[in-house]
Amino acid sequence: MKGRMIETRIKRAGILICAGLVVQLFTLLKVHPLSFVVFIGLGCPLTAVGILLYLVSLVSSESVPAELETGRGQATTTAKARTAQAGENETAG
Amino acid sequence: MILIPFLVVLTGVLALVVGLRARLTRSREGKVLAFVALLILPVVSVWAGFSAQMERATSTTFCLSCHVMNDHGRSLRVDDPSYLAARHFQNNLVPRDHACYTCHTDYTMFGTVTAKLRGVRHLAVQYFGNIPQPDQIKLYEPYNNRECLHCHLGARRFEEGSRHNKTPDLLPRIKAGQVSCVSSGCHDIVHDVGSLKDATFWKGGH
Repeated sequence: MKGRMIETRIKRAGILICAGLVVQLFTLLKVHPLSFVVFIGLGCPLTAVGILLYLVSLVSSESVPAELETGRGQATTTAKARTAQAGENETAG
Repeated sequence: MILIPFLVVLTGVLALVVGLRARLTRSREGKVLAFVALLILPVVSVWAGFSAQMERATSTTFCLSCHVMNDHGRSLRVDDPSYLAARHFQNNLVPRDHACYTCHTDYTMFGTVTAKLRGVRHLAVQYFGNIPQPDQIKLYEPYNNRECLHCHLGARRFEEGSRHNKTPDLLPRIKAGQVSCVSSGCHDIVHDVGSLKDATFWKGGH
């Protein structure tokens, strides 16, 4: 669930960055004051928000436990299975 | 110059791929790719784009791209040396590609930023205000001698010129900004776009 949240943020970040860069690309086509203003007022903020969103997905408190939780969960399950298996073997022995 | 659009396109495509396939980031390689595509390359692209935009924003083409500035652009080619802007432009005293900016920026620590903010103000007037007639366009503030002295200070022609030394205290007063370079009786014909109807124009320099 938490992993999905990270992926959703990354998805949004990617789309925002892409949108910002598309705006930037269009503003590079023509030398005009409006191009400059659109670049500063729209292209840069869109890209900046995208980058920030990506950084937030990296450092948010939810992201670390989500990955660790998944990893630990799998490890714990495996360890439990092994312990159970060993117990059964001992009983059988 | 072609490098920047290429970089922007590459970054945009990579960012979109990582965005639409966010599952990629579950692997170590995917995480590295996301870091490059969503942080490193966008930062580089925006910085490159910003530099390019700032460079363009100082060009003569940029300043004259608004219709209202056409006459000021024409005044650079008046075939009369008494026109200050024309004399500077035609004799390469300012770089022709950056003629407007060279004289109209502030030579201070944040002069470029101030000039850009003034440009935004021009734009606001252009689209939301009352656009004045070309001959009615005035500077927001009186022209500062500092901008002239940025190049002319120390030049022999300026320091030893007879008109600048007409009185013993004239040169120090010019340097102190107490007497304006563009004041009446000195270099008072700058663009003078109101008189362009009868002017002849220099054809060279293209």
